[in-house]
Parts: sequence; structure tokens; C-alpha cells
Amino acid sequence: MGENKHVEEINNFAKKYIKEIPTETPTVNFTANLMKSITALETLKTTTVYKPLISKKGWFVIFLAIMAILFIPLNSAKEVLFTLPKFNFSFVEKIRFLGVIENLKISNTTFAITVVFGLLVTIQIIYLKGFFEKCLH
Amino acid sequence: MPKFKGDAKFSTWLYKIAYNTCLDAIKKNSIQNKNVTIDEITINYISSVETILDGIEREERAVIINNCLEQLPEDEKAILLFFYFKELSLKEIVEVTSMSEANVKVKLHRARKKLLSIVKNTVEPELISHYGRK
Repeated sequence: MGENKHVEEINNFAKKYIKEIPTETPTVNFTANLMKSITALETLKTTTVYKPLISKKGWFVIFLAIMAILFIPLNSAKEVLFTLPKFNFSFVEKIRFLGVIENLKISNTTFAITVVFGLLVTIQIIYLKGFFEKCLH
Repeated sequence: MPKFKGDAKFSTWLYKIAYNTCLDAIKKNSIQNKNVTIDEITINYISSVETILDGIEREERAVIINNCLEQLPEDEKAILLFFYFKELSLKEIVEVTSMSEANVKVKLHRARKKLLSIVKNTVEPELISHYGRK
């Protein structure tokens, strides 16, 4: 009972005197200054936004160009735009090292491990790319 | 603004941001440890402090209370101001500070006691010196 009385008294004390504290008023230019610093921050943000070197449009143009190079000569069969220089690849048969590769036998386990390892590395690259992109933003 | 989900009042959401930003700034800039000893509070103790305070002019009294509040640990000072000055409910303070309700209650009680002790220790010597000068 006595403790409750104390709590009530202290509560009244705090209520009475804290209410008397005047509200702090900001300076005349406060809002203007605040908005200025916010806009400065915003412009800083926009300058650090990640932009790919080659845009989607750029990739599309490159894709179109490659397609054009590949298919235009094939469709116009009579008029050959250019001929690739002919190389003699017969020297490859002379290299004995190739025989070693042909005789090389990889066990199923090694093959499976290599495939899984490759998969994991690919996943990690995708994950890390996402992570660093998030960090940039 | 896009982060405001509308779960709580806009003012509560704004207070929460301000509270956390201020606490972060204080933590970054100062390592001062505000240890305040709490005196044993009796009814006489409270009424004697009130008598002294009532004898001081309102404006001067507000300055004294404000200075005393500054001596409290930041979280306790914030809770006191939220509760008495901004008149936030306990539930709203819980939302702003992310503390449990029990913790807020304990801190509020402790902060009130500390404030009273600080006010007494600030005002009493001043009063004695004032009488001494007379």
C-alpha cells in the first residue's frame, strides 16, 4: 500500500514537471535545410545506381547482328558474300597426345562428382552475383 | 515512406525511426556511461523536492528539469518524454522502442525515481547557496 502511494506520488511529480518543458522550436530555415540535405542524398543515391555496360537494347542489336551474319549468306546461296579461308587440319591426327585422351577412362563416380562440382560452382556464381547486386543497391 | 505498412499509427512509426536513429547517433558519438544513484524515496522526500521546485519560476524550473533529464541514460530519458511529454500509451512506447511491456514499465519506474533524485541533488545545493548569499 505504502509502495503504491510512492509510485503514485512520483508519477504525479513527473507528470507535473515534465509537462512544463517547452517544445523546442526549429530555426526558420530548418525545413529548407532539411529538404536540401535530403535532395542531396537522393542525387547521391541515383549516381551510384548500378547500370550494365551493355543495355538490353544493346544486347538485342548484337543478337540481331550475329543472326544477320549467320543467316544472310545462307539464304542468298548464289551470291556468296565472303568465303572463309580454308585451313588444313590434318596435323591434328599427327598429334599422339589425342590418343591418350581417347584411351582415358573416367569412372562413373568421378564423372558424377565433376558434374555436381560444376553445378555447385554455377549456383554459387549466380548466388554471389545476386548478393553483390543487392549490396550495390 | 514506401516502408510504412500502416500496421501502427504514422506518428508511432515516425517516433520509432527517430528513436532508433538518435540512439545509433548517440552510441556512435559518445561512450559516456550515465550512472545515477537512486536515493531512498519517501513521501517527505517527494514533497520537499516539490516545495523547492514550486518556489522557482516556471521557466527556470523547466530549464532545471530539462537539464536533469539530460543526466538520465538515453533510453530512460526517451521513455519518460514519450510517456509524460508526448503522452504516448505504454503499448505505443513498446512499439517504438521494441522493448517488452514489462521492461518499459521497469525502465519508466526507475527513470522517474532517478529523475527525482537528480532534481533533489541539483536543486537542494542551489537553494542552500542561495540562502547563504542572503
